[in-house]
Amino acid sequence: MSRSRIVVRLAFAAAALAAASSAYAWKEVPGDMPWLGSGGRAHLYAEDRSCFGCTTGSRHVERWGRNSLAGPSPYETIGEAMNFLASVGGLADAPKAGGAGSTATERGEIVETRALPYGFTVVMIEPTVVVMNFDLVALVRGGEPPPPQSTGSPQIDGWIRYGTHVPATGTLLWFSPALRERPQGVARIDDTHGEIVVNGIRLALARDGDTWTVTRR
Amino acid sequence: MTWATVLTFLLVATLPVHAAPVDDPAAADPALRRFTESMHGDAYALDVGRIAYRRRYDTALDDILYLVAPRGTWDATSPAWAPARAALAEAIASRARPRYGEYLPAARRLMNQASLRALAPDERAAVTAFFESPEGRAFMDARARSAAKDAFGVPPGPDAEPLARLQAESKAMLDGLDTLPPAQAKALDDFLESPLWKKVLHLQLVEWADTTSFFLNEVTQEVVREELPALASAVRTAVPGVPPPTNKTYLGTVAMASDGHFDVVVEHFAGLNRVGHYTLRFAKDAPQWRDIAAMAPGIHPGDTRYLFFDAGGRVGDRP
Repeated sequence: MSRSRIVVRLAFAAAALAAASSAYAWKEVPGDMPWLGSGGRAHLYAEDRSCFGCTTGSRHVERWGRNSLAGPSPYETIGEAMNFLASVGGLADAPKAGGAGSTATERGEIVETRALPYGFTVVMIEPTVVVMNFDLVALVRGGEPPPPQSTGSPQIDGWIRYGTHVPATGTLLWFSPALRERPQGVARIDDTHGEIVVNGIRLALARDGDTWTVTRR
Repeated sequence: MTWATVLTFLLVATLPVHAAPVDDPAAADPALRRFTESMHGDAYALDVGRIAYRRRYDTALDDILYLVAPRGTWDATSPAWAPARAALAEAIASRARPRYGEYLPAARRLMNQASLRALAPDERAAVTAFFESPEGRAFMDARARSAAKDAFGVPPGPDAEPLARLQAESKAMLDGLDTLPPAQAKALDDFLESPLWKKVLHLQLVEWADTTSFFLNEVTQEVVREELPALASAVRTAVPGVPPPTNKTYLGTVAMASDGHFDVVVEHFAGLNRVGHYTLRFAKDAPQWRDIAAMAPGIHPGDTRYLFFDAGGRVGDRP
């Protein structure tokens, strides 16, 4: 084998090792993750990266999807969903959240944070599907510590959950930013069952007490 | 021993030994200390702060009573309200006194900083000279008594003397200013018409009052945050007619209009502060209309119900 071919092979091996070590640095976060549009559950990965200039010396980063090699963070997914909701007028009639003021979005826009009588749960990603449960108490929840599996958004006061469980507090709506589906009622719903059909994927909702469980069929 | 000295002693005596030291270089300045003391500074600032805080305190008392028993179960027209309010005020005042003492070094530091900003050294010397003069002392004594009278009932007190006595003494001291010897009366008039007096007024009634009223509000919030069960117990012990406690939280009201739509008002409180007031309308064909109707069973057009929620987030019209 010529010297140049050995150098090329070594370069390939180094690149593969670097990519592998990068992928292995991500640690999977266990939990009740949303469904994936392509099947199965999403995987959430987290990593603490060192960074210069950070007050703590490190930065916590997350990404989710089929595996750890690519994918947005839950915050990015939820930011995109809330921007879509705002763009279709879903926040237009919502009052300004008391005490929250204005906040910059990840795109640098300044938005007035709104108070909505809904809880939000991301139940599927790729494509994103968000279920909204009518909940007057959501209007007074701003400022509370975040519940597990949740993140915030500059657009609304309170926390946005992710997973396959939705609080059963009232009427259910859903929307999907990737498919440009505006907020709409859950189909074929009664007191214990409902259904969301999106892009040929069927999400079945079953109520048990104070919780709806979403299952990909 | 003057009233101001008693108050200062009480506040200083209640300082806990573990209180964090406050970095206040101005505290070591004898001229500045003399300037403040010539005006009964600590006590006067506290009383004008109490006066400034009175309106907020009145609102706070109502809000705290609604933490004892929620909105919808009683209000200012209920027979138990006024005696409960008085019992609550007493319970807060007794707890606020030692706590305010903890804030005193910080209040003094801010007052010193304001004094240094507001007046040049020669102006502070002139003010000190005036308040140490016979006419200045008589004037400041009368003002201090008047402020104590106007601050009556607002914590942390002390309001050991009855209001009627404070009123009588304040009037007598004010009348006494009319009997000052002519030279002193002229010196007093000249000082009160000087630009320097306007600066002193701003310092006392704006800068110092803002500082002390801010700390008074902090103290009240702290007492409520940390001692609400004890406050509620004190009120219930003193006034048997207070509505029973509940583990639910007040959310707002729902009113049904003649055409069947619902107007919902949700009030958001953070501690004693009302941070949100939301008005929502749900038409009869809105999907959420049934949710609202289920929260207030049997509601009819023209009815208004209070709404509460439990720890599980369930909303209903029962407290």
